[in-house]
Amino acid sequence: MPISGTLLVIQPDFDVATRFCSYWMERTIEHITEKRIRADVLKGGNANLEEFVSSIQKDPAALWGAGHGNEEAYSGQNLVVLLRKGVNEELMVGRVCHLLSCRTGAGGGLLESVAEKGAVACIGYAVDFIIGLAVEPYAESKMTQSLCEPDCEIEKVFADGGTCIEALEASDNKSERWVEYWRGSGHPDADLVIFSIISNRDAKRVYGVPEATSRLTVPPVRVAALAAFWLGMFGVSVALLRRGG
Amino acid sequence: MTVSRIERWVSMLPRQELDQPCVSVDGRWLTPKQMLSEARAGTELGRKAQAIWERLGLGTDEEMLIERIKHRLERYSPDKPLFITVAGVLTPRQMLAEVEARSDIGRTWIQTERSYLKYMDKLKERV
Repeated sequence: MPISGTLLVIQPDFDVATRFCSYWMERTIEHITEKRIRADVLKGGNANLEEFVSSIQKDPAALWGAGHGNEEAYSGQNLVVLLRKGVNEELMVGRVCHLLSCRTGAGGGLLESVAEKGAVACIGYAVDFIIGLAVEPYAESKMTQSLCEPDCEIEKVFADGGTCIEALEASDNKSERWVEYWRGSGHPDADLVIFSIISNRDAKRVYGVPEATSRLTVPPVRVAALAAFWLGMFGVSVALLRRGG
Repeated sequence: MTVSRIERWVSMLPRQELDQPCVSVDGRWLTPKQMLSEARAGTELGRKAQAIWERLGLGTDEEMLIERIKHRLERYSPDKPLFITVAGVLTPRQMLAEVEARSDIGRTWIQTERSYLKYMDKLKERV
């Protein structure tokens, strides 16, 4: 049974697209770790198959991975394949898998197959995910931000204990807010950015159980049990001290 | 009354949209700017366009959607990368070729354009 409150993040950064993803994922991870979620981050050269398999053995509840992909496979640093349809989908059994990657969410593709093989739920994109525009090719630009943030929103909702459906809704709402921003911006490329945001928004897919959470938050029962345990220990200690005095 | 609604709606659009076809009237495509101009002049075309805009919304026929994508991409150098995707870069020429061939990916972009027009259509509710 995967361990609640643990997240595996795959963050390759070997080309423009993956660097853009990495830049905005980094900001989201800050938010996630503030919630006392343990994020195991495989960044850059560590986003390789060996580290990936080793991190999966620690049994994280969820995976959030950026990187190149297609209908059949998802890859990490330097295009090394980490997940391939029909090969190692069982690594995701019992987990929630969210990929910021192209086409892995296409019907009949990798994520649908991963869900069929036992992942709790999978979220991904059916077409090429537009991560940036060459008119402002910088990770920190408003254009890149407006394309990346809707995906990051999914993990923020998971970190707050939300379900896949709630995460997708929040992501769509974030997209809407950015569309509104660009509509009123007077920017000469506003229509191009709006088109790109809508393309990403409409490409999102969920497979498996949409009502599932990613179990990034520790269940209240476990928190209460831990609190009761420590209170009990405290009480016993106080009693022993009194008896000793 | 309707003319002032169109005026307010047009003022809400990104400026690049003013010269993009958005309504189909008797087989002719009108841009927001043309629709407003015809409506202000009180022409037959303007009256028809107003009625369609009010009751049916913006046009969604595939040829017009393709024309909109083509028109938008014309502003950029055809062979220079424009879209940075997580699968690589895409030039305007590559995107247009997929759209015009109505390939699987081309169809999804046509659908994106349809969603874009739906968004513009919804702005009517605010005027």
